[in-house]
Amino acid sequence: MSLDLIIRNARVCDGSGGPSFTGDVGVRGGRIVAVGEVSGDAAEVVDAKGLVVAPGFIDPHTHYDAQLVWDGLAQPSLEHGITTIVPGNCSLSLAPLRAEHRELLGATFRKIEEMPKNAFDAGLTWKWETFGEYVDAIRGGLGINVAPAVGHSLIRLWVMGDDARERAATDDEIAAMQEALRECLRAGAIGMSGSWVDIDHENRPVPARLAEPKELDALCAVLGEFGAILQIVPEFWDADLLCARIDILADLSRKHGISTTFSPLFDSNAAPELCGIALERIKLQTAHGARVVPQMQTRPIDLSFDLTAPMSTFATLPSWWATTLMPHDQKLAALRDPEHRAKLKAEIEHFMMPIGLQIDFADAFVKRPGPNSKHLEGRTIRDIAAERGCHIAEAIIDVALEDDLQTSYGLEALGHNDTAKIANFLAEPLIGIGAGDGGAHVTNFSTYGDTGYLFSQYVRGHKTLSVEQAVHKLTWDIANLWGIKDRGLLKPGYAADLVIFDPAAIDRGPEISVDDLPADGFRYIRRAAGIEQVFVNGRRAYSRDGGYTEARTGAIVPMAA
Amino acid sequence: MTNNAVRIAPRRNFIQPKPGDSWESIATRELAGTPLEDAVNMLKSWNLYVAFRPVGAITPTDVIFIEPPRAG
Repeated sequence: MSLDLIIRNARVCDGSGGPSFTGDVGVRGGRIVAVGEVSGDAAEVVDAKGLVVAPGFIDPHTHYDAQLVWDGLAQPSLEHGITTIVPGNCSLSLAPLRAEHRELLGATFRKIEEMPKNAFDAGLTWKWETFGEYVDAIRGGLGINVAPAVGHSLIRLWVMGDDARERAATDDEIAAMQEALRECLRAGAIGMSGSWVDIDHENRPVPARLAEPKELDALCAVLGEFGAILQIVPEFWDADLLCARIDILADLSRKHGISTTFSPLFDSNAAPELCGIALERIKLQTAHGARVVPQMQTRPIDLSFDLTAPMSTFATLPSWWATTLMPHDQKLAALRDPEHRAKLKAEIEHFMMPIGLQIDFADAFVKRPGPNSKHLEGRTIRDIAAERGCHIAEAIIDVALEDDLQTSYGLEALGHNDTAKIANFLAEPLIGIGAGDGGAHVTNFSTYGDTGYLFSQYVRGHKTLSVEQAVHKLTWDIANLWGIKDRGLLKPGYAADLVIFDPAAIDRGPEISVDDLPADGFRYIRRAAGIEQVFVNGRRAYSRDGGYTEARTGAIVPMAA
Repeated sequence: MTNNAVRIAPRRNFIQPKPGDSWESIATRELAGTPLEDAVNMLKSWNLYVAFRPVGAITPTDVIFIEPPRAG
């Protein structure tokens, strides 16, 4: 038989977590047809000697909802070996949404996921209201597979209108939300997302947070009808709160026979025992029949900030936050005003740490300099302040002023950075990989490269995971949890989503800024290292030598149920 | 909370608010026998993340602890 593609002589890691073996993978019509020793010929033969072939990686926690409208490749996720993404997390998707709520949802989405307004507005051409119409709007241009979740906040807005932001739902409205959710699931939603923590652009709880427990219960009953999953953001910074949320999710899981997942499970100096306590609670609930899977990200927290707009770095610095909100000329005047500068200086000396982070502004470095501060690139505020004989707040302000506020600063490893400790948690079978946030926070930090980082830090570095285990956690572990049909394994009949990588070299590259957002916007990304080739449904989508291809074989992936 | 055959003791006792609940109504219901003002203050001290919220209102999805943190 003639095949479309044979990958020969590879180290086959099939996603199951079992031992790898040297062999071949044969592909025809976008599907895997043989794994092992594959005889015959093919239109294309790839010699992968010395390389691993694995199922394409799956990223279960992204916010690519908007980017997919202008970039069906979800760059740069594909080049990191990811062939399937889940957008629509944390109660926020872009559908179903009536035209009159686009401005509101856009402002909420941009605030929570930190998307620049210019890029969001320029790149989004709203052609949909229903979930099915959104799926149709992105389907044609996809080079990556998409398993979209629908946001609970969107379902509330769809049914209740503006009241979704004000009050609990009536029984009739809950019934209408159940029907709206059914319609989304029939149209391709992989599950529903929620939030117990997020606040919108007006500092109000997102609509999902105004749901009484009976509303969430009713919607989970619908998820149970479809075998679909619930994703939610809990109070991840406090062990007692997190355990209470795990209990609530466990009850919903058992009652409705659904899988649940929360993100993130986050380690920090502020609550060093939290992850261990949460894991014990999850083990207890799992032993009693619940499925509650935490998502842990592989990378530490890095943050960037500048003085052009409010950013999470200033969350506990109200005067800095208020200053960034000023019109540009007023802001420049305030930043030069001695009285205002004294206030900013005092605030930075006595500020309260944001939850779970350890910030020292003296450690900030000039990350993306303007034309007049090129010579300062990479230098810390501590050094610059010492050299100029000024306070660190003044150094931050003055370097920014010298470039009309265009200078961006970086802070690294602020939390979730004890890799020896995290190595053991990531090796736990009950802890999933996720919470990466691809497509979000684009000017604050790079949300890409967590897959490569898993191998470089935890397979090659701490050696707490084997290559096979790491592949399993990025593939079948996620496909199985989310109910993603026919993906996550190298198995005849499964979709030919494949990644070929060098196990000795796979990694994330350094964080860089690129000017590839609509309206000439910039964002931070990371390029991949060690990823040789990526195939989506049997077609090459990326190669290290050739970059991204013209293939648009990505699909809206169906549920396994 | 949903109905469930499995009962696992919580790590720390909590409730989720009923429609229209306030600190006073929760205190009256959950800490009956304690003077109201004391009960409200106790509840707030056990739930600082709600009490000190910038936009102060209790939301229906909140977890409200009805006992202090346990040792250990």
